[in-house]
Order: sequence, then structure tokens, then C-alpha cells
Amino acid sequence: MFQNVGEMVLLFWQTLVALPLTWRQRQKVFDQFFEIGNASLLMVCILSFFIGGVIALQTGPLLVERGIGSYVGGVVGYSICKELAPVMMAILIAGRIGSAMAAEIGSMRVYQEIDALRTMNISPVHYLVLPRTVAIAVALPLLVTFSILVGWLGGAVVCVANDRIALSFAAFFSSLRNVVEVKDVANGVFKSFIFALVIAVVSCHQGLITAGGPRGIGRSVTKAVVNSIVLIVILDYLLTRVLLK
Amino acid sequence: MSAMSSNPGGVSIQVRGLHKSFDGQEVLCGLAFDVQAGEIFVIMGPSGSGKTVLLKHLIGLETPDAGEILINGQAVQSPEIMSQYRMAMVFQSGALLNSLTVGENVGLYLTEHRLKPPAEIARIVAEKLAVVGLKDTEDKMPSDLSGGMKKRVAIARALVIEPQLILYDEPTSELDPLSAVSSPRKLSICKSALPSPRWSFRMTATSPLG
Repeated sequence: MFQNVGEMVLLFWQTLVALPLTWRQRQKVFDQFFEIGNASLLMVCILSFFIGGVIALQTGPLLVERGIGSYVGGVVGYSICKELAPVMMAILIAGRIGSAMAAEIGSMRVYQEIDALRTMNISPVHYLVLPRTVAIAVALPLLVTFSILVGWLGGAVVCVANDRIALSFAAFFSSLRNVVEVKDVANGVFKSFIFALVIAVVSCHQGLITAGGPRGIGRSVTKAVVNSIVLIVILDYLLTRVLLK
Repeated sequence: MSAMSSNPGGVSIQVRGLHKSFDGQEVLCGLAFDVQAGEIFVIMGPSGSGKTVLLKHLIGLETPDAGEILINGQAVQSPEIMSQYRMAMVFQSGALLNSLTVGENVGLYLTEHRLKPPAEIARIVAEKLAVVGLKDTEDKMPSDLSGGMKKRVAIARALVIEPQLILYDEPTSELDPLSAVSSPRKLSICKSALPSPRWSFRMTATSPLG
């Protein structure tokens, strides 16, 4: 466990050191970026819309009953941008993209493709880890920004359509504007950036240490997703504590 | 760090007291031998006797438990060895990158180290593929190739490096019987296709019963 943590920190450091080479790997970064967006955009859209809707549905009637229905927009907006969008999207991306990264690099490891790279003096960190890390570190914050907007829209639609809440679009977004500040959105986007680094490092590391054939690849994929999610939830708590100050 | 070697000639290898164990099972036990620059050196032995493990040690992919491997007197584990000497290994399975085309695989070394412009890389790739008898296969994917063709692509990929040392792991496996019989002659042709006469070649092969 601790050996893995040490190796992941080392891998992250090697990736940071390799950052100046990003321009040389721009085609791979773009390919990965396209892959992440292509694989996730529709899912992000659906998930965010319904998360926003559910939060509105859960909190709206309660707040209306207590005579503070005008706060529904603020509650939905605040919870989505600071917590739900970054965490839910990070978990979604860990499942969809982190697993793919671990599987791809893991199979390259098992079938000696990474050994072949090393014999050609091509660093697996530069060739495989760097483009994936940069792509996901750019893509996830963008997806989270998109998710926040769609989540707000989902909440607003439910508030308008549900008779027990019966709030207009204008009232919903007026309440949201009164509560949510730009720094709250920035807070959530910053969290997603950290989560993206976690997903990239954990998944690439699991891929690079894969051993034992197809069963080993399966194990690596499972570990990559589970470890990413556990770390995301723990880091979410720690980041929330730090960012609350 | 440059990918190009500053030493144009072949390389000599000294192996001294090499030991390697996996899970308590000793695979290499005090191995010692010398290979001179330009020499063709064949290692034969039954399956599982540690030939591939030895090759991986020689190119720095494995770290020995004890003993040392010297490339021109310099430890193979030293970080700068891969940038000082051009070495290539043709893996038993070919180890082609399955997400790249044949042409991209063969030109990977030149592309990644930015040693030539794209048009020049395309010319070199076509030339090396012709040497191994796979003309006009640049756009095929490795999954479209037979085992023997993959192996020949892997040889072309090694030739592009213009290596001072080539390690062939089971060069005749996955080849058809006729190709297997003629492969030593073909590998000699590959050797003569390289620009310097002082290349070290190393091959492993199983025994007829292996």
C-alpha cells in the first residue's frame, strides 16, 4: 500500500518534470482530450440534468412548506457547483476514462509494448502518462463547468414543472445569483482539477504495474477505479476543509 | 538527452557472475561470458531456461540480483547508457504497439526523437519494410498481420534504429518452416543492410526439443 503511494508520488513528480514536453506530445494530448469528451459528454449531460432535478425535488417542497421557497435556486446552485458536480463527474470519469487508461496501459505492459518503448529509449512517462494526465486535467474541469450549468438547468426545470415548488425560471436564477458567487464555481472547478490528477496518476500507475496476463489487466482496472474513487472522496473532504477557510 | 549515440561503432558485452531469481526460483546462476563488437552470438537452451530473462538483463529491462553487465565497459543499468549506445531488441511476440499502424510502429523511434522530417521517415520506413519483405504494408494495423509478419515488422523497427547491438529473442518462432530455415541467412542480410560493419548481433533459440 505505502509502496504504491510512494510510486504514485514518484510518477506524479516525473510527469510534472516532463510537462515542458507537452507541446511535443500535443497530438496525443488532443487525441486523449477528444476521447474523454467524446466518451463522457452525453453521460455528463444526462447525469447532471437529473442530479440538479433530484436536488430540486428533494429540497424544494421542504423549503416551500417552511415559507423559504425562494431559496431553492440558491440551495440547488450551491450544492451542485461546490460538491455534486465535481465529485459525481470525477467518479464518472474514473469509471469511464480511468478504467480505459488502466486497461490500455496494462495491456501494453503485459504484451511487452512498454518494454519495446524502453528499448527505443522512449520514456513511458513521456509517451503514455504525460498526454493522458494533461488531457484529463484540462477536460475534467471543463466537463465540471458544463455539468454545473446543466445541473442548474435541470434544477430550474423541475422547480418550474413541479406543482409543489412552482417557481419561475427568473425566480430560480435570481435566488441562485444571490447565493452562488463566482468563487464558489471556481472552488468546484479547482477540486475537479485535483481529482483529475488523482485519476490520471492512479490509473496510469495501475496500468504500469500490471502483471499476469488478462486477469492481471482486469485486476488493475478494478483497482484503478476503486482506488481513484476512495482517494477522490477522501481528498474531497480535505479540500473542502481547506477551501472553507 | 540525445537519442542518437555518440559512439558510432559496435559494442562489446561483458557479463560477470549474473544471478537472477523469481519467487525463490533461480533462473540465472552465476552466468559469465564476453561478446566482442561485430560478433554474432547465439544462445541455445530449452524453454524456460532463462534466455529471455538474460536478454532483458542485457538491454537493461531487468535488474540482476547479483553480478554485472558491462556495455563497452560501462554498467548497463547506468541511466545514460541508452542515450550513449543504440540498442534494439526484437521480442519473441514482436511487441508491436497495437494502436499504431505498421508504418508508425517502424518509424516510432525516429518520430519520437524527432531525428528526421516526416517525409524522410516515410522513406526510411518503406526502405526497411522492403528489406524484411513487407513492401506496402505501412497502413496495415498489427492485428491484420500474421505472427511471422509481426516479427518481420519488429525486425524492421529494430533496423530503423541502426543499432550497435540487436538482440533477437527466438527469431524463428512464429515463422513458417521455410522462413525459419532461411532466417539466419535473412538476418545476415539485415546485418549487411546496416551502415556499419561492426554491429553486435545476439540471438537466442530454443533447442530442437525445446
